[in-house]
Amino acid sequence: MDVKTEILSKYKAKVFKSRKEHIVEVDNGSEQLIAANTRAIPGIMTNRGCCYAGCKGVVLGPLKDTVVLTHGPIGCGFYSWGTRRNKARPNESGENFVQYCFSTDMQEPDIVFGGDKKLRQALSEAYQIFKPKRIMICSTCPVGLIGDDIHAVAAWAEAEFGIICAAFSCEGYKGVSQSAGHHIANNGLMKRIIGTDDRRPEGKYPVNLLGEYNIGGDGWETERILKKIGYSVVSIFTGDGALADIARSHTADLNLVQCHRSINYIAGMMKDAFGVNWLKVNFIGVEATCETLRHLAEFFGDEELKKRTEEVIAAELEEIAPDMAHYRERLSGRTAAIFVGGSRSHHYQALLRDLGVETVLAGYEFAHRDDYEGREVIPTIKEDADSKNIENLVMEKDRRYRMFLTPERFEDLKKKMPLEDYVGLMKDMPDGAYVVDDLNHYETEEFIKHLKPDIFFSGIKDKYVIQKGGVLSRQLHSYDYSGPYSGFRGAVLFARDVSMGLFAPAWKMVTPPWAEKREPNAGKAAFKEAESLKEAGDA
Amino acid sequence: MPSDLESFTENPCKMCLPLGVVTAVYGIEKGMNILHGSQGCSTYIRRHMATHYNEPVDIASSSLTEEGTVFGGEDNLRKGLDNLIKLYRPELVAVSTTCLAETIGEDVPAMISRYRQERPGLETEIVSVSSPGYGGTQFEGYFRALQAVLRGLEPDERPNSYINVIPPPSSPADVGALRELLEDSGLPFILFPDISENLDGVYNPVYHRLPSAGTPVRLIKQAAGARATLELSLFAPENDSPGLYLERAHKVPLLRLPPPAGLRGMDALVRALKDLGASFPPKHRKARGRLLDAMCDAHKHFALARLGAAGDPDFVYSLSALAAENGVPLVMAATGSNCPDFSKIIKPEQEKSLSTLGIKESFLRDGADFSLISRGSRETRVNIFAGSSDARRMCRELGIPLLRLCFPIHDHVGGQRTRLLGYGGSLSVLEGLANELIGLEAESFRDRIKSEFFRKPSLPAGGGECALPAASSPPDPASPHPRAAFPRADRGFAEFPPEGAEKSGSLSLRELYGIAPSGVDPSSLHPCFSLEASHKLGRLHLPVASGCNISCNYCRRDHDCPNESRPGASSGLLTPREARDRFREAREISPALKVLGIAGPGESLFQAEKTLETFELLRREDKDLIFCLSTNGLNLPLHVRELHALGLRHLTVTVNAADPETGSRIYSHADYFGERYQGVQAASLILSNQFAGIAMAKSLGMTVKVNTVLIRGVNVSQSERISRKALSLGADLGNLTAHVPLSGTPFESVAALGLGELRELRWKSAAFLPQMTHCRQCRADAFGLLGEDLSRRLRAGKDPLPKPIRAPGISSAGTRARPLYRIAVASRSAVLVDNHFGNSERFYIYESDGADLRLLENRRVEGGGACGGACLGPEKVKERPEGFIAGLIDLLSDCDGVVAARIGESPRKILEERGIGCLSGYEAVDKAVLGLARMLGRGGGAA
Repeated sequence: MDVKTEILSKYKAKVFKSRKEHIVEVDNGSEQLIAANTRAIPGIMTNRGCCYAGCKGVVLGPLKDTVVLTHGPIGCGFYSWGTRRNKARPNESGENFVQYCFSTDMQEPDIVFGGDKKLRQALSEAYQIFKPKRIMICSTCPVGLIGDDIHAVAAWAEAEFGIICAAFSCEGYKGVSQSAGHHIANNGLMKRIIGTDDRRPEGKYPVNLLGEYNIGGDGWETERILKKIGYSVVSIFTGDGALADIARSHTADLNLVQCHRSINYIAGMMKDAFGVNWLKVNFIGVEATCETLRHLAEFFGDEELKKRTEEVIAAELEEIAPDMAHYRERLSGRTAAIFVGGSRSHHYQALLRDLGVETVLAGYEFAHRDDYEGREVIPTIKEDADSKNIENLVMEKDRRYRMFLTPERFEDLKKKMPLEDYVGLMKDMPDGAYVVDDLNHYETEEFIKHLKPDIFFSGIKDKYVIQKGGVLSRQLHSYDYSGPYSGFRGAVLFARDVSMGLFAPAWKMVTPPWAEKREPNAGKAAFKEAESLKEAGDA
Repeated sequence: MPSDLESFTENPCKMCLPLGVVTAVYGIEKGMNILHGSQGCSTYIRRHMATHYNEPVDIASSSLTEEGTVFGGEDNLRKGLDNLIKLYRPELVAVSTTCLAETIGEDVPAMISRYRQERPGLETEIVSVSSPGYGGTQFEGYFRALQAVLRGLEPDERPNSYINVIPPPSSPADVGALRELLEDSGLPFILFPDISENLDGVYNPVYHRLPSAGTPVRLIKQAAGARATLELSLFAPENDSPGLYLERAHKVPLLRLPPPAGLRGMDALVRALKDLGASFPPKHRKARGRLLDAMCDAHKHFALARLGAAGDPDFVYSLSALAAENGVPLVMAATGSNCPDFSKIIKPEQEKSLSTLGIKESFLRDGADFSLISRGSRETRVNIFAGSSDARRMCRELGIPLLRLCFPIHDHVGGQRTRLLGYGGSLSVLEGLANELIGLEAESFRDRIKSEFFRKPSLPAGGGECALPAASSPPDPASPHPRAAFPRADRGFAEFPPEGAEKSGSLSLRELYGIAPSGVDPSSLHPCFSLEASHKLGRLHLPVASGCNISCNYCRRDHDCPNESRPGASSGLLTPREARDRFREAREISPALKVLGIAGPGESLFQAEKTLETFELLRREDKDLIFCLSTNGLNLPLHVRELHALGLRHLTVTVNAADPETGSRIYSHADYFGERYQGVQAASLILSNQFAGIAMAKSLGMTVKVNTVLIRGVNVSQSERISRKALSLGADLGNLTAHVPLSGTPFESVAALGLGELRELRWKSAAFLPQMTHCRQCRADAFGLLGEDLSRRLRAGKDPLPKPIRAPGISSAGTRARPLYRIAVASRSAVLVDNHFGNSERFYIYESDGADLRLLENRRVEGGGACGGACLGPEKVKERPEGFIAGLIDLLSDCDGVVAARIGESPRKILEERGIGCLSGYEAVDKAVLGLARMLGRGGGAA
């Protein structure tokens, strides 16, 4: 029995049928499909979050010049407070709301009699205290059910206080994962913010950085490199980002898309409405960063820029070379499993390759088929009830529409770089590796047993399950309170953190003095032994 | 008012109900949780619990989507239960609802019974817990889950010998210690729930998907037949209490005890167990002895604390009990839960904790968020805080240390092993607390001793030989200085100090009064905030603000009366751009100009946009400028952040009352958001906004001065209260001034406060809030050094010769016990008597009784500056208009004395003939004026 069949065999027939479509053993020789963005199976420990988490937690939460007010009972606001480690510096006027949690803390009477009065009152109070220029309201499950018209209240607040106030109906039950929330947030930003300020940026090569949430400072390292070469970053969606900048993002010449999953809607809509081209980039991994930088220089086609790019790359590589060589030597030949989000499981394979680590299993929590198979499959994705419920905005050409590239040049560049394209995770993985969508708790344990990776990159929810089993687990959502991991310097930090984990002396001391035989010292071997003990116990 | 808001929660101090449910169920052997609702609830709660406990946390979800929300979620729940039971084989599953399930009205008990009926022979117990997130907090959820489990299982009422013990929500380590005590007691017991191992596991290569330890389900069933229940919580709500349920439904006697924290709490539990027949091995006696020993050893450190605590009600109670029996002043206690009994139960403990040191300030609230807790902590001057890691932001802002003792702890490791309960737990908290306090003391000790015992002789700021208050008074034991040991990282003084304005060797007021400087003391750079700087740094007040939103009974705002140097007077309004031009002009005259203020002539924040625009324009001129602002505070909360963003670091708020009743006698109305408020209502509004604004300014790191206009018979008796209030809000400096009676105002006939009285009041207030003693009550368009108003040089047109003024009610010497003398000083700098009588371009006119002095005006001499005396040699003699000296003497005819570096023989003679005393010599202005006044008081004349 192969690994996949063996793992699936424990499932009930219906679950078996559903899950087998989500697990693929990579074979680049054939066209491979994977099921994704379908409903999570109840009762299995899915790692997925909800629509609210995608909208408030991921996309809107990092905005620093904006009061993000959660309209709902206290839990959701509390749980999304400071959990994503999206760092932000105060802007010029000293505003930084990222450290705050704001909620209407709805109580039972609000559910029974309606919460819009409390929302109105909360907005007045928020305005009174902070005088924010922008307030974004995010709703949680009960709000949609009792029918509070948060959009009307937002319009009232705009008129009353002369501020920008937008509401996002991102109730947790919408869609099948946080992905729905990304889409809702994208729509709201497109409708209400983007294109409301026409001031052109001052510097050369104006670009936006999309899908960079500045976890552990990733965005800062990326920005450092871009600025060193001479790009001007108009706005960042949304790590250390500001709506004031996003308002003029349409004046940039190019959108750099880091996290494709969470932000590709805006990239597409800005192309349709304003003609801004977008380029899939990856600033995770040394090679990947160099490649991305060269693509960028090629896009602008400026010889001076190309020269400067090569200079910066050379200088940066020289700076990190000794460290990277050291870590590569230590880590080379190891294997890894990665299960995160909707793009990082792909991005981090590049960085691991830099270090000689092979990825044997990769999966996304909430990705769609195009994230696995490439953008070309989008037309073939069948819409289901859950995806239809999320509004799909169709943009018309804005009066400010302008093309940076001629059609010929666009076609020419498209051959050289992922211009308005995304290749997909599976195509970048070696034959025999596994790709699993919405990996759950049970499958995690089983895959570890079978594939025996040296390190499992995931999040806090399964970290301790994995680590109790003797396999190192690092959090790729929050970087275990480390970071940045992006760009050149981030790569060294990542390599250091992984080495630190794999070579932690504790793994060598697991054998107690009363044990009859010495347990093998490597983590995964300990896990293997444990499993055999467990099976013996079960028998 | 702000930070005590009804609808807007800023930084919550509570979580939702399902989190408590899940935690409780984690204490059941082979128990599993499934939340019926959107999967985000499970994911969020798993994430928060795993981060705190550093353990795997498995919570299933029925993963309701829009379909289930519309058509009902039974199908999802059924599938969820199927999968959970097949994959995990739990003995018990708790199905808890969420906001979503409750709002759509899911009948979970009915679904469970249908599910069971469809599956005869199902071995897994399934119980339902109604736990909408809006129904309470994690605290209630914990108890509700326990009761729901007891209700949902078939009870075994046959009498048995077990004792039920229900711990409050606490750490696995505390529950483990409790279990050890029970094991040692020799009594059969049911500890429910028991999270000690499930949420604090050991390294074990065999990972158990199911919580393998915890209270066995069969024992939970037998709880209904137990001998007694000990419920160790004072706050378990009646509807949710498992102990009450067992008593009512199954007649199990209930004994409710406080959480076993501290000596008394733990003694009560031990006594109760003994009454039930327990006997304990010697190790517990020793543990008690050790705790007592530690309490004795560490007691001397506890008095240094001003402890604040926030968390679950039982957690806060535990700390209050520990505080009470150790003399740790618990000045601030709060919980996020809405808990009606909270204040009632904790108050006696809090009072005990404060009584030893006679501390009056205290704060106690339920239903609080961190913005309120932060305010409470500020008001009560908390210097150490105990709670969850959510308090870290607040503590960083306040510059105080945080003891992480309760859920959630997200920024430290070991959340599962914090200790609080039992003899051992109490000991560990107390020692942790003592060591933090020792650390605080150690870090601030040098500074404090230095400032108390090795202070340089200071400039007398008023009465010559009168001792400065803080120098002789012993340090207040209730207000230790450790705050100063913490650099306030968030204050953002990045732009200070400006170049060339470094602090010199002499002392700022803060130091003068024994308050150690905290980092860079920006006050030392501002003339109004530092005596030192007042002689060095020029300031320019820009009259851009007009109109006022409140009406004070002592005020009359006239725009053009250049001779009056008093707040509110100004020679014309400027637009922000004109203000910038005036700044440029002033810079030409006085390049040292560093400080720009807006103080009127109206209220600076009434039409705040002008003020803000002015600052913005000036900031572009010079990024090192120091801005200051004077306001009545009504609109301060609305603009303080913008002002801060523009670099304003010095703020003066005029607070004239400590309570609305007094305030209503001073303020006749207030205009606020289009409404006019009057009487007490107006005063309440003004005061609360002033207080909130000051607190906000402080939280932004500004230096705040509180001005108070004291009006005889109205608010003089409140001066001390006002200063205390200002202190509690964090103000840095107080400035008590006497009101200037103006004709046409309701207080025109109220006699102004005498200098002696004022000095007395300042002296009293200075005992706790440093006072500005050198206030010159500047004009709204003042320019130059304090006491050297150059503003008329900036104004167009010819300067009129100032007319002598005599403030009504001040100087009629006959009516006063100590006569006041009006003394003219020939000085260029207003610091030293450095000019000759005939050479002086101006005279500073002071009023003094020999003990204190006050600048009245700055009188210019027409054609002055040309000395006629022979003192400088004949070549220096300049032409001067005929009758110049006579005119000069006429100019000073209203004065009782003249001080100059030198006075020629003939002028001296004329002056003395007219009964004007003379004093000549090179001396500090204040010393000279006081000296002459005393001389005049003794009947002396010349020297």
